[in-house]
Parts: sequence; C-alpha cells; structure tokens
Amino acid sequence: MAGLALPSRRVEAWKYSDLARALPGVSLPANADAARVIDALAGGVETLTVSAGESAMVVERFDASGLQARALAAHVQSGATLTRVVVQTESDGVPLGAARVTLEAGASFRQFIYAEGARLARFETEVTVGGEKCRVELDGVYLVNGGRHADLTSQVLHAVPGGETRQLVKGAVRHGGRGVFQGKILVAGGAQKTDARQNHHALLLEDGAEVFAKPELEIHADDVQCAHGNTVGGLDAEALFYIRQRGIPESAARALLVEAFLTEAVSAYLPETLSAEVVARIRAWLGAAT
Amino acid sequence: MAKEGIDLATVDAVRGLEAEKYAAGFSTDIEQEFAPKGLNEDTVRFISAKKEEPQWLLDWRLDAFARWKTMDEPTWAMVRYPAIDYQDATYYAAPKNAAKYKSLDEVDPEILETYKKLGIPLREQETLLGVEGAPRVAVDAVFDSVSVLTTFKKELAAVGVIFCSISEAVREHPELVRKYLGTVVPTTDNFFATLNSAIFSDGSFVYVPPGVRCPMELSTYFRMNAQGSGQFERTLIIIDKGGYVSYLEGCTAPMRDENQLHAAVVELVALEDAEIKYSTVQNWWPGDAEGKGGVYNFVTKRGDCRGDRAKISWTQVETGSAITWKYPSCILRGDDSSGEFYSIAITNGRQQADTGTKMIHLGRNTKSRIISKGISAGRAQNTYRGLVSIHAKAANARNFTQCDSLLIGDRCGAHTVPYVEARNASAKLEHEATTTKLSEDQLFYMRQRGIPEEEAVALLVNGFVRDVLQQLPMEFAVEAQKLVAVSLEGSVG
Amino acid sequence: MLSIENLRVSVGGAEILKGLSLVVPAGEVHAIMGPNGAGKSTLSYALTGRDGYDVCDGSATLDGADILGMAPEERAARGLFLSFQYPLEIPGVPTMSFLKAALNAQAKARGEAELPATDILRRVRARAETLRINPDLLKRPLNVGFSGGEKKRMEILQMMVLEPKLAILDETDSGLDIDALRIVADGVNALRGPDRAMLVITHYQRLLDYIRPDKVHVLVAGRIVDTGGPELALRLEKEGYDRYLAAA
Ligand SMILES: Nc1ncnc2c1ncn2[C@@H]1O[C@H](COP(=O)(O)OP(=O)(O)O)[C@@H](O)[C@H]1O
Ligand SMILES: [Mg+2]
Repeated sequence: MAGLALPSRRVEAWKYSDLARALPGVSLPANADAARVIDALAGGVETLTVSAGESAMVVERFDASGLQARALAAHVQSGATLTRVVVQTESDGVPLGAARVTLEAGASFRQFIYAEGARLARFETEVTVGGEKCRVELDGVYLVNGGRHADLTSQVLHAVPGGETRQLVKGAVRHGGRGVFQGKILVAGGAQKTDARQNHHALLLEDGAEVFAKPELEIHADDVQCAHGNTVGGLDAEALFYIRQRGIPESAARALLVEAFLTEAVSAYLPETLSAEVVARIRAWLGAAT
Repeated sequence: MAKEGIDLATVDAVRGLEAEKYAAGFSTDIEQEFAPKGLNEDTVRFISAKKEEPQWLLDWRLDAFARWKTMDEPTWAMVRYPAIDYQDATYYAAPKNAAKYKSLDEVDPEILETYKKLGIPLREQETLLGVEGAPRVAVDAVFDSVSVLTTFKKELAAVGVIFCSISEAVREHPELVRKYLGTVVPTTDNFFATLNSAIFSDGSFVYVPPGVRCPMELSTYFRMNAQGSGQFERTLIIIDKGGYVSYLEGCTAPMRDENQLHAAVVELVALEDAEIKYSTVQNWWPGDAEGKGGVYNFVTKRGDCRGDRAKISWTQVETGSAITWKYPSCILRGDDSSGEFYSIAITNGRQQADTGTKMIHLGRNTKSRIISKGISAGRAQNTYRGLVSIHAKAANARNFTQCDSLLIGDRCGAHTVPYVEARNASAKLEHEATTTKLSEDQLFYMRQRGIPEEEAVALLVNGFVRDVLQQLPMEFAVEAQKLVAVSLEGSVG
Repeated sequence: MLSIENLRVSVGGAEILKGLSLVVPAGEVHAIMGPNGAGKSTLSYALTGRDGYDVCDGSATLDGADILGMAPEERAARGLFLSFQYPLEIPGVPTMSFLKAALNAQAKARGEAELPATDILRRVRARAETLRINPDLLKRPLNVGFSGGEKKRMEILQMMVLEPKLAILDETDSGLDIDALRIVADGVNALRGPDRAMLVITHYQRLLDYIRPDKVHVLVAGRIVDTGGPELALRLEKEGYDRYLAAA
C-alpha cells in the first residue's frame, strides 16, 4: 500500500522545515491525517488529564539520534495547571514533538521549550482556550549551531472570552544553522476581552545563519488586546562597544550580551533544577562557540 | 495648503456623505467594441491584432498564455469568492473612436461627464482642460482599456519624459518596452500576472531620462465601464539614473451586478540614484450590502531598485473592491537602495482584502519601511500579509514594520501575517503589530465637545491612518481622506 | 441654569448617585468637594451623557430643557462642557483641527453660521497665549504625549474656545503646579459672566482661593450632604469628611 508522503517545503505549515528531505524514504500510513504528521510518526498519542484544581508537570527530553517523535494530548480541567518542559539537546536525529492542550475555565498551561536543534527538530504546540479566564504561557529558547535546525511552531485558539496569552521565544543561530518560529494567535468571533501578546526575538550570531519567522494574528472579535513583536538581527554593536570599553574582551562581551538576551525567556515557572540546567546549557553553548 | 487642511477636509467630507456614497455608481453609455466572449489563443491574437502589435509582443503574449493554462489560481490568501469562469468574460473593450482626439474639445462629452460625476477635483479638471495657472498634473485617462487622452505631452517631451499609453510605447519606443517589459514581473510570475501578460489591454508607460526630475506629477484615472469586460492594465515605469517621478493612480468603478475581474500588473524600474513615488487611491465598486457585484482586484505591483541608491515608495489607499489581492513590492537590488510601503486598507460590508508588501533585500545597506493601517468594519475581513527577506549578501540591511489594525464592530476580522526571512547577521529587522477597537472613551470625549458620532469616527479613523495619509501628494491626500470617511459610513451606531 | 433633582445613577449595576439634588443659577460658580469614590465624576459623566451611566430616576435640566435624553454632542451644543478628570489622547488628530471640528459642529447644531477658519485660528491662538500654551502643541495630536499639566491646560483651552454656558471642571487642579493653577484659574475667571455658570469639582481649597465659589457643596456617598459658602471649603480642608462619613 502506497503511503502518504511527508510534507515538504511546498506545504505552507512546513515551509521552512522540509521534513521529506530530513527523513528520506519515510512515509506515513495512507490514512494518516496530513495536519497531524507528528502524531502519525509517533505511532500513537499519549493522553493526560489534569483534574480540576490540580497541578501537573511533564518534562520531555529529546536527545536520541534518528527519528524520535512524541505526541501528547492534554486536557486541563477547570482551575488546574499544566506545566510542560521540553529539553532538546543537539543531535543528529530528527526530534519531533507535538502537544495539543485544551483548557477549561480558569485553567493554565505553561510551556517552556529549550531546543538546540538537530538534523531537523520541530515542536508543535496547539492550545485551545475553551473556558473563560484561562492563562497560556508559551516560552522558548532555541540555540542553533551550523548544520542544525530548530522549529518552534504554535497556535493558540481563543475560542471563548477573557483568555490571556503570553508568548516569548528567543533564539540565537550560528553560521549554517536555521531557526524557525511560527506562532499563530487565533481569536474566534465572540472571544471578547482576549488579551494576547506574542514576542519572538532572534539573534543571528554569524553570517550564514538563518532565521525564519511567521508571527501571525487572526482576530475575529473587536474588543481585544492583541499584539505581537518580532525582531531579528545581529548583536547591538553599541552595547558591544560599551562593554568592551569597560575592558571586557569581545568574545566575553558577546557571550554576556547573548546570555542576557536569552535568559530573559527562561521562564520563572520552571523548577529551580530545570532552570539551572537550562542556564548552564546556554552558557555551555555560548562558551563552546567563542 | 497646510497638512492641517487635510483634517478639516474630513469634516466637510462627512457632511457630503449622502451625496457622495454612490457617486461612483453609474454607468456611461458609450459604443464599445468587444472582443468575442471567452479566453483562448484567438482572444490573445485578437487583442494583439486590434492593437497592431509587432510579432515579438504577440509571441510574448502567447507564451504567457500557454504558461497560464498550466497554472492554478492561488488559494493561500484569506479571501473567499465563488469560482471565476474565465470563459464567461470579454477581454477587450474599447471606445470605437479611441485615440483619435487631437484636442479635448473633440472628446466625447459623455466621457467628460463621467469624469465630472466621479468628482475628479476641479483643479484636476482645469488641468485636464488646460486652464492657465492650473496645477501641472498630467492625466493619462484610461477609459475602458484604451487611453483616450493624454495631456501635457509636449511639456514632458521638452525634458525628455515619455508618458503615454503602453500601446503607443510599443509603437514609438519598442526598444525601451522590449528591454524592460516583464523584467520585474516575469510572464511566469503568478497566475494573475501571467493572465495579464497574455491579454493586457492597455495601461501607462513612463520613461524619465537620466538626471531628470519629472516636472509634474503624473496621474492616471482608471475606470471600468463595459458590462462584463475585465480590466487588465499593464503599467511600466522606468526612471533612468538620477531621475525622479511621482505617479498617481486612482480609480472608481460603476455599480453593477456582475463580478468584474481586474488583474493589473505594474512594473517599476529605478536605476542608479533614481526615485519613484507611486501613490494609489483605489475605490472600485465594493458590491452591494450582501457583497454582490463588487470588483475582484488581483494586482501584481513590483518595483525593482536596480541601481545603487535607488528608491521606490508605494503608498496605497485601498477602500474599494469586493476582493483585494495586492502586494506592491520592492526588490532592493542596488546597494544603499530603499523601499517603502505605506498602506491604508479599509474594508466594510462584505469586503475582503488581503494586502501587504514584499521587501526583498539583496544589496548591501538596503533599507525598507512598512507602515500598514488596516480598518475592518461590518462583516469584512482585512488581512495584512507581508514578507521581509534579507538575503545573505544584504549586509547592514534594515527593516522596520508597523502593522496596526482597527476593528469597528464585532463581526469583522483583522489579520496579520508577516513573514520574516533573515540570512545576514548584520541585518536588523523589527516588526510590531497591534489590534485594537475604536475606543468608546475617545468617541465620548469627542462627542462631549459637540462632534457628532459619525464625524467623530471619521476623525478618529483619519487620525489612525494619518501617518500614511501624510505620504500622499496633497491633492490626493484630501481626496483620500474623504474616501476614508465615506467608506466607513454606517459602520457605527 | 442647571437644575438637578433627585438624580439616581447606577454604574455597572451599582447605584452610585442616590438621589442627588443641586441647583446652579446663572452667573454663579459652585464647588463640589467630597471624598474619593463619592460619585463626583459619576455626576459629571451622567450629566454629559456617557454610556454606561444609567439614570434610574430624577431629572436634570439646562436652561429648562431636559438634557438626560440627549446625545452627548447635543448637550455639548447646548453649552454643556466637561473638563475631564483624565483627558483622553486622540492620536492623529491635531488639537487645532479638533477644535475647528468641535466649533463648527456646535455652530451647525445651533443653526449658526460657521466661523471662518482664520477667525478660529486667531481665537485659539489668543486663548492659548493667555494660558501660556506653547503654540507648537496645537499642531500635535490632541493630548498625545502631553504631560499631565499640559493636558489639563488643554482642557481649559478648549473650554475658553468653546465658551460653554455651563462648565464642569472635574479635578482640573489635580496635578497642576502653583503657576499652572493660577493660569488655569485666570482662564476660568475670564469666562465668568452673568449668563454662565460653573461646577468646580476639587479636593483642594487652594483652587478656591483663586476661583471664589458662590457656594460649596459636600458630596458624600452619592448625595449632597452639606452646602455652604466659601468658608465651608476651609473647614473641610481642616477637618476632612469624617463627620459626614460617620453619618452616611
Ligand atoms: N465602570 C464602573 N463600574 C463599577 N463601578 C464604578 C465604575 N466607575 C466608577 N465606579 C464606582 O463608582 C464610585 C464613584 O466613582 P467616581 O464618580 O469616579 O468617584 P469620585 O467622586 O472620586 O469622582 C466609586 O466607588 C467607583 O469605584
Ligand atoms: Mg473623580
């Protein structure tokens, strides 16, 4: 039976992450849902329900070589909180993660993704705010070396009024690396008083580094506060000069600036041990380069 | 007139609302010469023959047509419309006695009447009529596909500026047309541009020689008229080294039942140190309250900063059309070249607009600036879609993008889809977007000062779009401001 | 001039004004003082017709005409002006253009001829000068990025240009330094006349040194609980509102 081909650049959602090229010879079952490629590759979806008022945390680690796909469907009941942390360290593999999260009234979903990229790494997050007074925090840091690729793709659907989304993703990319950020905030008709802020900021540390960003707002209600900001560029030359003028060598000055830039996105809700690990990894990554 | 005058004019415009709303909704009865209905190679040959074109252009068209047959209509834009039957339209219509006028007196009075009803400003009319002391704005009026009058040709000729219909340019300046036509928007570019390449009827041609600042603003009024005839304008503007031109394009369309297809192509070429300022006020018929009968506007506009330090600036005020699909773009090829895009897109009723720009940074030190103001009212959908692409060699490239959306009412939509592609570490790109509604508090504050609600809305909206209005040449800005008010009539209250 | 009887107003379902009565005759200036949250701004907004301020009972007339059913702009055209406690920013609309629009709209509503643009310009510039407002501010969008003091002065400028019959000043003195306060007071005094009246809401006796009120009212918990001459303001400054709050 002929399988379904993996998406290539020609598919809008995979425009910057050519999965067909990263996984030659791999195809999906013919009956697979083309919109849920990762689910199909994972061969099943883990499910999780966080009961009303409870708090739960999941930590997913991606460090294997070869294809590593995982799909999670979580339901967060009213007043409950789910925290998801993804740690992906550099590998020659193809790590793929998908999380679909639905929220009931007053629920919170907090997510932090740390990605160092791989042959192709992609993390998809899809959140549906299905009850009033929900809060969504989607944060992430990606650090991409030459020959590596990291893709953070997300969609937050505000289906009901009064939800709040805060998203902050920061990235740093070196020569030959590629960072991808695709973030969509969708406010359905009637989802009044939605308050959504999305920010993505990326640093190109060397020529030949690539960042592709597509921050997207789709708004069908008028009484909302929605904004996004997106910046991509090199390190601020003035700041660099200022620090060097104080006697700090250029490489250290760079590391200092980049670290400050990145750690802003390391969320406060991370448990101590995880945030310490992430900061240590950022430092190691920076140190290894300069 | 000071810039302040613009804001005052809004107030007048609001007063004139009732009278103005359907000013564009009438149809002029002029004998037409139609191409047979339908679209095939013979249609292409008919148009080319009608215009007595050379073989190379016919071949160019036929190539494009062959290509078009293999292409699919794009579906990625956020616009929904019933399938277009390309065989159920006429692709050429011309006033029978076209291009035969020696002076304005000979122009069919009905055509002049049409301009009058369209409210072409008095000063513009004076200019058209050659009244002494009138502002020197040259008008190349495209009346249903064929240019019927061009003024000020002599004065322009004195400085070497060529401003004529593209058909005339094909005859009189074939070397220029051949050299540049299709070099910015190739015949293979996209479905609608390729269609245009095959069957374009007419349009404008401008050439400004090296070092010449065009002594007047060049202006074209487009107007669709024949029942069921699409409009396929082709515009080519070439500014040689160190030259400058400001080009104005404005259009209105008559009320009608049938959907009208409009697929124009505009190509701009700016050589070294050349500057082009291209301003558009677009007010095609948007359809009735149910969105029926409005114009489908699928436009490909692109400028190429081919030389160093070239500059291209697009300013658009889009208030009409049922469907707008339009992305005026800049290719920043020359080092230190710059591109600008200033846009106001207003959608009301059932209108759908998917518009924005592409800034392609190829050269070093290239700069681009994008300011987009989208206003959505009624049940309209308004999308900003843009691409900023920094290629590997575009060292020190800069982009700033600001996209603001204003929503009036809870049944419309406002969407922002910016693509950013960066490949150079010394580049800097900034993008900000906000979505807000018309503030009740501001409205109340203004009404407390005695300003009626509709007028307050017009003032607030004009305030919202002010940054962009200020980019327009003065006469145009006043008109555009009126349009803003008229377009939003009935959206509040 | 202004006559309010048994006015009950609720905001967001809560009754804030609970049967307020007040008469301000032509030619007089009345001050309203009262603790935070007493309903002073609510009174301003109810009189000027802001959405969300539901009049449940009572009446308010301006020169005998019932204003409560009118649109805000209609009340304004009849001569009702409010200097907002928190003036709004109007992006993109230059102050001068805004004033022209307001003057012309009011003239039209009253069936009067519009003033020529040059007259308006002159009038606004002259008034701005007396208020020591930098003429450059007039070209900038109204209140956008203005300091708190500038915004308040802009309110008074608008009042002086629009020449209302009844002006309500809602804490116009808050946030003004001494010099600005005097300038604003001079502006207000200049507008005083036999066929105008004013309602000055303030927390500070200081303003009343410059603008001598004919009467001072104490507004507590949605009602006028005391009325007196200027000396009442002095006493409130010393004693506060305790005695009324205890009773309320
Ligand atoms: N929109 C609103 N919804 C509910 N309560 C309100 C609203 N606006 C004002 N209030 C309440 O009304 C009361 C009176 O407010 P206000 O008139 O502003 O007082 P002040 O005398 O300080 O000007 C306060 O208790 C305030 O909290
Ligand atoms: Mg108050």
